[in-house]
Amino acid sequence: MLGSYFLFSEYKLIEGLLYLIGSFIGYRVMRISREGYRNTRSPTLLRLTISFIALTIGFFLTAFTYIFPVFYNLTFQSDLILNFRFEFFNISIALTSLFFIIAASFELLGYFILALGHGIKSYQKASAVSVAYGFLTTVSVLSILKSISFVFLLYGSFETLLSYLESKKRPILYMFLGFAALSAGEFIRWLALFYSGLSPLMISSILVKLIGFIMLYTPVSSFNTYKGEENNVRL
Amino acid sequence: MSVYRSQVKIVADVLSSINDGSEGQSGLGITRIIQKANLSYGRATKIITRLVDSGLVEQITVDNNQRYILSHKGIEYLRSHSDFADFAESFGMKL
Repeated sequence: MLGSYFLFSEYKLIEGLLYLIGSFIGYRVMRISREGYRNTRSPTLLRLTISFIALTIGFFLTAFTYIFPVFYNLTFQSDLILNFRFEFFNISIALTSLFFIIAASFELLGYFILALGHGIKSYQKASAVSVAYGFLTTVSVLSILKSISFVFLLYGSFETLLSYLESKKRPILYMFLGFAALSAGEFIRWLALFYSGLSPLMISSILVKLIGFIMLYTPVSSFNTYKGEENNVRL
Repeated sequence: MSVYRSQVKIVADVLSSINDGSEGQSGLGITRIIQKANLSYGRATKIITRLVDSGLVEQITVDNNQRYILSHKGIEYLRSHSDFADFAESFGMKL
């Protein structure tokens, strides 16, 4: 049953496109932070780079897993390709589910490193929330990974809010709103689990996530890839 | 409460103090750098030696005194540090 919810969603294509936008934004952030790390050797920028590499791969894999079967079905009128099952640790897993698990693992890694960048001060609290959240949702590898990602995302947005309250700078506010909208979208998506087929919750989840990605991109768009001379310093 | 300064921030502070304090081509002495960047003598000399080795700072002699000026590479570094500090700040982080 791993990932069955994702398989039977009527929003496969829309969600796939949404995650494609996410992977594009992730790639942009990754490139800017990589340039920044090359020029300043800042560990903060290295963490941001690794975090967004993982998030880009995670988002792209999710987008691919959503979009590919839609196009495949349109072209070949067949639903065989991603329903291929195989044994993994004696557990039968469909290829689609495996893709989603790998994507969720990358997302988890990305959000974890992003949260690490803020310095995890209340790890015990975070794990308690993740366990509670895990109980509320369908217990599966995918949902556990997603719920831990959700906690890290929530933690990241909370820390960004604290930074905004400290400095009152607008780009930080956009970043907070972006992270908050993404975590809200993820939460609404979990709520949508209780409804089958087309549900207003699902539509709101997609809209909220889209707003989140736009908010995240707003401050990033002002940073062009660094055009100055590359220092490549060794400090 | 004292604010934690990362190694990158200390380097940027040293570079900007040399940049701000240099009068023309005469450069800045170690004592002024220590005062401006708020560092101990031992720490400051270690950092400046590394900055000279990496080509960010140039060492010159004026009236038998060792003085330091920012190289072109150092000015570029300061500029990119300022740009990327803003970028990291938009994530609520500090360089």
